[in-house]
Amino acid sequence: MVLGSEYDVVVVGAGPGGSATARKCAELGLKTALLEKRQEIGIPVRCGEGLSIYAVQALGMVDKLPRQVYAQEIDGAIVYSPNGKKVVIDFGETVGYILERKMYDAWLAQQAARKGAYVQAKTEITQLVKEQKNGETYITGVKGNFESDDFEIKCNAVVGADGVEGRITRMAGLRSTLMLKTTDSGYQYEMVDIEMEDPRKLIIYFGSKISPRGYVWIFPKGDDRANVGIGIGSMGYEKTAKQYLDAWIATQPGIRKGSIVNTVCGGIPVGGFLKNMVLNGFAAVGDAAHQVNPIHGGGIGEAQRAGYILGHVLAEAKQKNDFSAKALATYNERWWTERGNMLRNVEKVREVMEKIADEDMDMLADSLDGETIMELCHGKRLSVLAKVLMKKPSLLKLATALV
Amino acid sequence: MDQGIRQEQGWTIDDDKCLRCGACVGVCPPLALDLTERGGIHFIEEKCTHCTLCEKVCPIGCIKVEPPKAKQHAH
Repeated sequence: MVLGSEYDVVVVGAGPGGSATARKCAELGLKTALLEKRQEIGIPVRCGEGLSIYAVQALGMVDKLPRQVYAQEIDGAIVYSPNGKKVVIDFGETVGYILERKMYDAWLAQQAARKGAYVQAKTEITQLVKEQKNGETYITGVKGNFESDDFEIKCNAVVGADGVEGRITRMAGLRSTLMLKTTDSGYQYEMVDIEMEDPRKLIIYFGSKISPRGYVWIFPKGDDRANVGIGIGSMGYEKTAKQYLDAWIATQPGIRKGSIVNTVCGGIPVGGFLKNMVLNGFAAVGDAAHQVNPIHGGGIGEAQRAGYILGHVLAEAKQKNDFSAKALATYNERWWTERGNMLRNVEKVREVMEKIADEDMDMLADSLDGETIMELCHGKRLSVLAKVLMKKPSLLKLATALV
Repeated sequence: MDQGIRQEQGWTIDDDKCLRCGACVGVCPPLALDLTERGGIHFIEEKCTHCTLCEKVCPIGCIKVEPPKAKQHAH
């Protein structure tokens, strides 16, 4: 139970991306430390807490999720377009979960620990150690503090899993500062004693008046409990995310009557994927590398998938004893092939959604069925969306940009 | 009221309202902000360029950035 002074890999940040990376590294035999600056892993939650079944399947977690890590199984969604048109997407079976992130994150970190990673909370990394090797700069360690003790660790690679703040990742030298145009501003209440149409469905409200360049969501966590939140663009609207959400809730008697048991807010990366996520002795994962679905803002599954890819790449680097950016670039290639190109397509859909007017959104709600909407959220069938847009001459340019 | 207002040189935060989400840290190009475990958002004046991105991204609106102070008269 003591932090060592030498590791193969030091992972900074024990969210889903960091824990997945640490777990995979440990499984593949690397000496791994997973360090979290917070006093308790998983707290505070900064998340809508939705996780799709596709991610659960891809991560091999089917039938493995302990009951306490999720609050509710989801079988579809109800989407309201700006004019109030209701589109119901019903799969008739579980297609996702609303998690209890604090339990989920703790579970992931415990798994990393059980696979052999050394996990430590309340441990802040303040500095990266850089050294010259063969005329190039390598990151070869970290400096930080645990309680009131300072420490230094030597390692072959540091993983920046430091979330939206991404300070370590940027101190390392990656150009990953969030841009306003690809960052949403999110605010959410966890509410209890509220009324919901269907506690097995996500409920989404679009409309520039209620949520400019974003939407209001209700993610159920039981029959009378839900995350009620909003994500809006950050390019400067008349009100803050919190003010928009409060204004919307004021119009909803079934929500307004409830109590607030948690308040959550944060920046949400929605695009601006990084072509390069590695340096000599360094790689970034999760929100720090903007690995989030730009339509729905979900990043849990993306971070874990990227973490597994990165874990394998780091294990290969260890075998070859080569942690250079050139060697780690395999992570860029694999991530872009497996996730990035798809997510870039989703970003294109988003770019359309944020440019069109409310009445165009209404037209899409009339023209697209639930299944197509789901496919678009996964970067597929962009041509169907383009075809609908082409019906209106003013949207032709947006349509052609899609295909 | 207003007990939580912390005024730094050209940068103000309402610590009572701030939920320490770190969105402002993430958009700050010169790394002039840091989310510390102890004192909330830490402001490093020398690095701040008064670009106002932190003010814009804040979901609560608890940050205010003022224009940079005029330089002192040259000696």
